[in-house]
Amino acid sequence: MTKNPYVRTVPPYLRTVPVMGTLVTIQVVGHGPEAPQRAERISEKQEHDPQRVPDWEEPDCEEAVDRAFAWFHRIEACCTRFDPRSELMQLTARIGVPVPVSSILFEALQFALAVAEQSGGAFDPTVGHGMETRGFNREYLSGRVVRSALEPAASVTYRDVRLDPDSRTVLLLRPLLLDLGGVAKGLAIDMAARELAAFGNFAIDAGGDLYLGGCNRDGAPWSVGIRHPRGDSELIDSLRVSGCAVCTSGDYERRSASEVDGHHILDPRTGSSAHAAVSATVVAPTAMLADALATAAFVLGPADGIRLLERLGVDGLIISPAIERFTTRGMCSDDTPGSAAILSDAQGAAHHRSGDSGRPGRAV
Amino acid sequence: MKDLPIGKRGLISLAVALALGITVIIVDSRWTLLVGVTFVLLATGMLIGARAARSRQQYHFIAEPEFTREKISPNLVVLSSAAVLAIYSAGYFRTRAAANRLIEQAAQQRIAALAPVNAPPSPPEIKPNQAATPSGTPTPAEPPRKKLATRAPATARAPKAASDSPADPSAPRQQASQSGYKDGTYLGWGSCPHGDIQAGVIIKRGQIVDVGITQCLTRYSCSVIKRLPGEVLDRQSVNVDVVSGATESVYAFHDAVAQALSKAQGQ
Repeated sequence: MTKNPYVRTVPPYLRTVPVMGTLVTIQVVGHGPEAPQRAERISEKQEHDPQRVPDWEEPDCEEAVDRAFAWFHRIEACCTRFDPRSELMQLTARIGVPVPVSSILFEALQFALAVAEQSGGAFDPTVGHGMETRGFNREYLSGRVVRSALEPAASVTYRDVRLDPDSRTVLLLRPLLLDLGGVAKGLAIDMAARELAAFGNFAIDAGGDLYLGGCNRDGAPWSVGIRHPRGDSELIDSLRVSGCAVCTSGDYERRSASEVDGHHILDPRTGSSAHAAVSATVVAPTAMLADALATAAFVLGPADGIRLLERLGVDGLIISPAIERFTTRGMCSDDTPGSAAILSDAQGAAHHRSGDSGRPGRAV
Repeated sequence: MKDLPIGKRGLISLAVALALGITVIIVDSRWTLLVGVTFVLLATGMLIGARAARSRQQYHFIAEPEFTREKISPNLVVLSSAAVLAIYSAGYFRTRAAANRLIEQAAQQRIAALAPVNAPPSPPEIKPNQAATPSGTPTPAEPPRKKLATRAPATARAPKAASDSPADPSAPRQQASQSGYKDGTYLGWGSCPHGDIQAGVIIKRGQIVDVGITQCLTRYSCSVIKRLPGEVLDRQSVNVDVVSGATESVYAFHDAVAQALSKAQGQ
């Protein structure tokens, strides 16, 4: 493919900003001849109207990154549990009345409830109070400590939240504290990805939750490492992906202060930390979905988690407490292209590869 | 023909139409030929219609349960994409100025919130706060112990960061910090397994006016894939672009800010 004279290359661009309780890094990679989406678009344009092509302005990379980060700030301001002035916290103060909400909050809630429904409650946006009472009431980055003045309704579930799509209102049936952490972060990543779509090749890293667009610097699909749940700088696997999100939920972050063995992912069905898995990674078309399903899969554990992911048509990798790897059928790791030859696990639904536990290895 | 759902009347009218058409065609006249062809076409149309009606009935039968099943389990992929579209089309910030205003607001909030973080164990500041807040909370005995414990990691990490710079017990010094900062721009480094982060803090008139990341050197390429026993694949050197699940960089940022602030205090 000859270089299109109308394609000006965008210099590699990288910016890191602290937002949403974590660090968000956006990098836009310069265009090479391997930027198919963009090149195609321009040649199409050339065909239809050759006169107009020189007028076509290269989108301003810096401006797009500005807008991308603005989404993070906007969605954080709306959905954070750590600011009593946020729309989410204002909503939780009004029980029993339909409250009109912004489209960000409505869509985030609607999606969270849909995932809750699909996962049988393994993912539940109403765990906010449980999180708070267990000491997760301090925003990591800024250190803000929040304690809501809520009566602890013992058994609230996602069914206590009603949405009305016509009037776009939210009705909370009982006092509850919503936690949209994962969904909001995922949504922000997706919105940022939309802003950056014109650049084709970019990566968004929001504290280990990723969206990878197009290709990396070398023109190859992005190579994504998956953190080893028990090793700080080690990876347990790596993947080659393009145009999708990769999110991981692990028990190694945010250890609970009030419990010895607690961490930040609660099993909404029991109200205590989930222990069926030590890490769950989901690869999905949107970060919102990947993040929510990673949490759900983590809570469900290897067998049920893989079953859920297979049913919903996304890919994932779940690490059991014995550091065994369970993957969906479509998950093929980067370094071992032939590793689809995965041993079928005794549990049937889940595919399993030998792990550190020293279980019999896989067929080679 | 028997299973066609057109009934006796339909069958008779079909036969009449067909017969009429054929007779009109046989009677050789240019005028009537057209009418005959029309009748034949009409008859064919009726036949096709009847068949279609039958097959529609069958399709309906099979399709209905599937359709309802589809409705029960919405496609989450579609739902999430639709949500992104809906929000995007709501047009939150069409202009760069709007986006920048928002970023500035957020920065202000961050600065306001950051001051207490970097003075981790300042009891006079925390305790009144705790005394004030639990009024509405149902667990009055819990908060003090918990909150101190929550802060423990921050305290534990602070000396580590300070050890890079010649600063020592950061706690008592930072307690009096607010006014103790000297004006200027200060940089500090923090590191995590995946890279180093340099934070910059700008102090004006003794106050923090800006905090940000000035450099972010991620070095994922140093990472090693955990070799699993039993895997005998010849792996090339692993060089990944990004790591999923790696959130340690937040600690590195904290360390970097702590270091920058300790410099601002004249160390």
